[in-house]
Amino acid sequence: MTRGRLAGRPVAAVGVGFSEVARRSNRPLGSLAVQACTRAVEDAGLSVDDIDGLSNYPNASRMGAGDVDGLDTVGVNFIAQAFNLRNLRWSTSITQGTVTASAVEAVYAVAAGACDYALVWRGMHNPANFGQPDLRATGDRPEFNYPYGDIHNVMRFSFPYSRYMAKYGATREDMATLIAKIRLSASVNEEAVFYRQPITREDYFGGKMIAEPLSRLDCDMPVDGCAAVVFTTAERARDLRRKPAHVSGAASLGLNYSTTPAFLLEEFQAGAAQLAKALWSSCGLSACDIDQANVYDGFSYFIYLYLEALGFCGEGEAASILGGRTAASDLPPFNTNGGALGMGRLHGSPQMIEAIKQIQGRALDQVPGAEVTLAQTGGPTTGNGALVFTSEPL
Amino acid sequence: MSSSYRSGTPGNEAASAPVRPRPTPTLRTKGFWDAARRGELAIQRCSACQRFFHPPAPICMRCHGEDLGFERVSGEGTIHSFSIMRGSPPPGFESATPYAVLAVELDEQPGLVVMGNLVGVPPEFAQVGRRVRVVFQTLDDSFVLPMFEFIADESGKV
Repeated sequence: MTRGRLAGRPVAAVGVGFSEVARRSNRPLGSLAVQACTRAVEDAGLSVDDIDGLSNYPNASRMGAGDVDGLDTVGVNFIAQAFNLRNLRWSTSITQGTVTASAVEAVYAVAAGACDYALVWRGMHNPANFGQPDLRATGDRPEFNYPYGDIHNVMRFSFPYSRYMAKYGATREDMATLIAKIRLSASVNEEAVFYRQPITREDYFGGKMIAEPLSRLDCDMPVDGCAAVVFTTAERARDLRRKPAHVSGAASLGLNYSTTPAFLLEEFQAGAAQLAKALWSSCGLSACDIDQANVYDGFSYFIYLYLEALGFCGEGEAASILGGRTAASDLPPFNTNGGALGMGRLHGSPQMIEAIKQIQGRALDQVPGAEVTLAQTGGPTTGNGALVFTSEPL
Repeated sequence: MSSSYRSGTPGNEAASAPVRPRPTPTLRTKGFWDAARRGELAIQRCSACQRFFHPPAPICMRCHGEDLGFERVSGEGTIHSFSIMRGSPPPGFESATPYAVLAVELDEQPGLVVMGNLVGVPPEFAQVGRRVRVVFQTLDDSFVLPMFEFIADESGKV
C-alpha cells in the first residue's frame, strides 16, 4: 500500500461560506442552504454552473425530525434542483461521518477525476416544534435503553464522559476553563450563534445540568443554518480568487466495532485512534506538524478524546492541560473560531472552514504562519472524518 | 404518539413511577426478557466459542457460529459508567427525575454491558467502579425489567 500521499490529482479547498445562523430561523432551511452554497461558490470566484460534483451528509438534525428535502434536511436532490445544475456528473450522500466525511468523499471524487468542482454543505434545522423521538422501544437501542429513561442523545453521550472523569480525574472545573475560552473565541466571531455572548467559569457552573455529567453548556447549541465548501483540483485552484488550501491528508472512519447498549469510553478512544492512524498514514504527518487544529466538539469532552487520540497529548491528559492544572504542552491553537460549541451545531462545518481559513491567512484569530491545519469531526464510533490542509502541496 | 406505545400507569408502581416505554421483544431478543420474567438475568452466548453478546447478535460476531442461546449469568458486575437525568427528562419520566441509568459491566466478560436504573439508593450515589447486582422490577402490566442495586460491602454497608 502506498503511504504518505493521497492518490490521484492533487485537490484544494477554494471557497467557504456560512448562511446566517440563528437559534431558530423563520426562513426555510433550503433558503439557508442556497445562501451558504452561493457564498462558498462566489468566495471561490466561481459560478454555480461550474459545480459538477455534490457530496452531502443529509441526516436529520435531531431525533424525531421530518425528512422533507429543502425543509427539514438539505440533500443533493434539493441542491441540484434549486441551482438547476445541468453540468453535474457526480454526487453522493453519506450516512455516517458528518460534513468532514462527506468532504473526504468530494476530495476523492475530484482526485479521481469524477468531477472538477465539488460542492459540500451541511444544513441543520431547529424548529421550535421539532418532533419528539419515537418512544416505541423497538430495535436494539430502544429495546434495552428506553425503558430506563436513557432516550435522548445528551444522556446517551454522557456515559463515556462519566467514565473519563472517574478514570483520569477530570473535573467540571477543568471544563469550565475550556468552555469559557471557547465562548470568548466565539464572542468576537460575527458568524457564531454566540457572537457577543462570552461566559465566565461561574456561568458554566450555573448552566442547567441535563444528564450528569453533561450540562447544557457541554452541548453545541442546535441552530438553523448551513455551511458550504468548494473543492477543486490544485491546478484549477491556482487561477481562482482565494489562496488554495491544499488537501494533503484525508480519512473517513470511526465506525462502531461493538454493539454495547451504552457508548463505552474505551471504544470511543479506539474509534478516534483508528481515525487518527488512517489520517496520519494518508499524509505521512503527525500531530507535531500541525500549526492549528480543529477537533469536533458536539459534546465538550470530545475535544479531550480527539486531542489525545490524534497525538496532541497523552491519554487522559487533555483535561488537566486544558483546565490549567498541568503546564501547557506543545498543544497548537485549536478551535480558534469557537467550534460548534461557540458557532452552533453545524456538524463539523466550523472545524472544516476554520482549518481552510487558517491556511488562507484570513481567520479571525489567525495563527501567524499557519501552514498545516487539521479539521476532524464526527462521533468516535458513529462515523468520523478528518482532513489535513497545507499551504503548499505535500 | 403511536398506538403501539404501551404506557404504564403511574400509581400502580411507586408514586413517582415513570411511564416507561415497554420493550417489544423479537425472536432474537425474547430470551433476555423471558428470563427476566423468571427473575433471571440471561445473556446471549455462542455455543461454539462461548462469547457473550448483548444486545443479542444476529450471528456470533467472533467465530460466526449460528448456534446462539441464552445463558443465565451471575447478575453481578461493576458500574462501568453512568448518567443522572436532571434537567430534561424524556416524556413519561418527569416525575421520576432525577434518576440514574447505569452501564453495568458484568463479571462474566470484559466489555459485556447491560443497562439498568440504580434502585435502593439516591441517584447521586452512582459511582464508576461500584459493585452492583441485578434486581427485577415488575411493572404494572407484568413486564419485568432488570435493574441494579448496590452490593453491600463486608461491613454490610451499601
